[in-house]
Amino acid sequence: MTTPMPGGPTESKPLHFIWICDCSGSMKGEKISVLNEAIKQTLPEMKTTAVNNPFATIFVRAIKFSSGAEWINTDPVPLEKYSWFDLEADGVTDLGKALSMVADEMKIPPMPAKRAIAPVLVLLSDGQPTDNFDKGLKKLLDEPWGKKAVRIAIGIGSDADFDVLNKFINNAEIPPFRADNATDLINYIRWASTTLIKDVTERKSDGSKRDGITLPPPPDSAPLDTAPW
Amino acid sequence: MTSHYAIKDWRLIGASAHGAKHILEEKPNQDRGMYFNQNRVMPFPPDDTINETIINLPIILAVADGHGAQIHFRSEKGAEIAVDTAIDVCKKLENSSFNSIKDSKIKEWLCRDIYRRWVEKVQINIDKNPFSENEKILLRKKVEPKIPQLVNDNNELLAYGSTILTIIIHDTFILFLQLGDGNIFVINQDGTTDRPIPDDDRFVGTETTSLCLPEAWYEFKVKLIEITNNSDYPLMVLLSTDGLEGSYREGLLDRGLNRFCSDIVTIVCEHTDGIHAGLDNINESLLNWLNSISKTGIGDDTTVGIIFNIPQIIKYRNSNYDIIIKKKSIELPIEEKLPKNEITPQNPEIRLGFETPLNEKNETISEPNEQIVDCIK
Repeated sequence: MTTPMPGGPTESKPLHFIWICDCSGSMKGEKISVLNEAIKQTLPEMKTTAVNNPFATIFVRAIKFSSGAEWINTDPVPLEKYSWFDLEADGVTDLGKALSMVADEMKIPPMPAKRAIAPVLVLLSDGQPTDNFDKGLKKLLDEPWGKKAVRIAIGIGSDADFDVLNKFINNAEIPPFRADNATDLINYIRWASTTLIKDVTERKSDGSKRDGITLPPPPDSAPLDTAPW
Repeated sequence: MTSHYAIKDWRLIGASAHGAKHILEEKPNQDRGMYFNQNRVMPFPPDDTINETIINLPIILAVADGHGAQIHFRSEKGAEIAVDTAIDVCKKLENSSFNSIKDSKIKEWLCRDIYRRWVEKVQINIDKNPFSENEKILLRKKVEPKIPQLVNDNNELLAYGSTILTIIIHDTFILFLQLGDGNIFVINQDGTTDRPIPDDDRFVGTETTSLCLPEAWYEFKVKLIEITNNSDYPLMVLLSTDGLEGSYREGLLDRGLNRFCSDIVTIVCEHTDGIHAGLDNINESLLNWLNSISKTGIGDDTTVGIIFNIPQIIKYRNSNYDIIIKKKSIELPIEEKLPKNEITPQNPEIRLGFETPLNEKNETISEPNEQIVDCIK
């Protein structure tokens, strides 16, 4: 006779992945359209990456910011059930508000104290914040999981404020990416949702106690003759 | 030194499961377990269970978890040195008493000695096995600045990074020592669960203190409990590396280490062939459970050592369970399992060490080849 296993149900570790998307008026047209398509197109690859690591469960959320900020889905959705809803662009660039709302989700609770892989926060923006960005960023970095999160920033076009994106990353060894055209943006989104996810889940779920700050190599930029935004 | 207890009042069961993710990645089990009793030091064997009846106190049990990250590339050895050193150093408490150590600064003379000797042994290991050029480059890499203690002047120790958890059960005291993550659980006489050393809430995620930190002895957590008579001992003490706790979602009552411990006690107490059969069941199942938990949980190596106090478990079962204990007489290797001075064929319930008399109603049970030897009210 087999004795029932003590302790109750077990689970793999959660990894929270959050898209932080600029939906200000300057993103209108090709930029927001490429962003929507790129995330939708890479979702199947992201799901395949997740399936290959049974010791991590990926939960995805997205928050958009323009005049104010709003969660696309407030509750974390398991990656296998996640689908993307097209974003529309209009308004100003209230990035500080968005970071403040992300900070609320990095608190303990709702985050567990110990049992999670460092969250991945991916910021996509083409402009300069119009609200109190520093206040929102401070709130995020004051939360242990906000500080511990792997923070990636993709600047869309030459008007993006790379000082702001650097401050968001808060790590001199990880520069923001610069997507000068649609090809770059697609490549960076694919990298964040596949290569980076694979690296973070494998690195953090294998019993690692202290992980280095290096990231997997990013994709190459598109050829110079690629049409800019 | 005179023990409070008659012989064979304790039982130690332990196992170290190779993490499912480490197996996939062809990495070694970086956990280690070891115990000391009666001048004998025994490491936890790979892919097997430790199952020891304890003759006399003290017993010392240690488990260690070598860190898995790339920079801790010799942590398997670091964990091995950790349990070996902890046992070796704690052996000097064999002839101590609660009164002789209660006012001393245990951290300064005991934990400091564990740390100092761990560093010495690691240095000897490095001398015998010098780092390759690639390993030296790895050690020079900047480590995560979120734990400032890690940026130290002896990065070589990082290669051997490990936690260490130790318990010494003595005639007059129980001493708990912990450096780094992992868990120590105590099941009290009334079945409630205690954590003598609480979680270190300075850290989130997989961050932890470690023997590889500079002056790591200062980070040891210490708890000393006085034992004045036999009834002071807990039912059970459990030491585990963090692979076990990490596989359960936090904050839920229906799962986790609290439940793991209470389920273990229940399995032992509810066995219809008696306490020893229940313990045998734990022994036969523990490694499979840990392997299964690793597979369905976070995939980490998982090492667990459990020390049971048989008289206290019997007392607890007598007060809390209504179980008819049946035993096939032919199954009982009396000389091996029972205190010789208590073996009396006229009192089979005493043969099993039970304290309650045979309940009249159980005499109605009659199954072929079975003999009722005890029951619980």
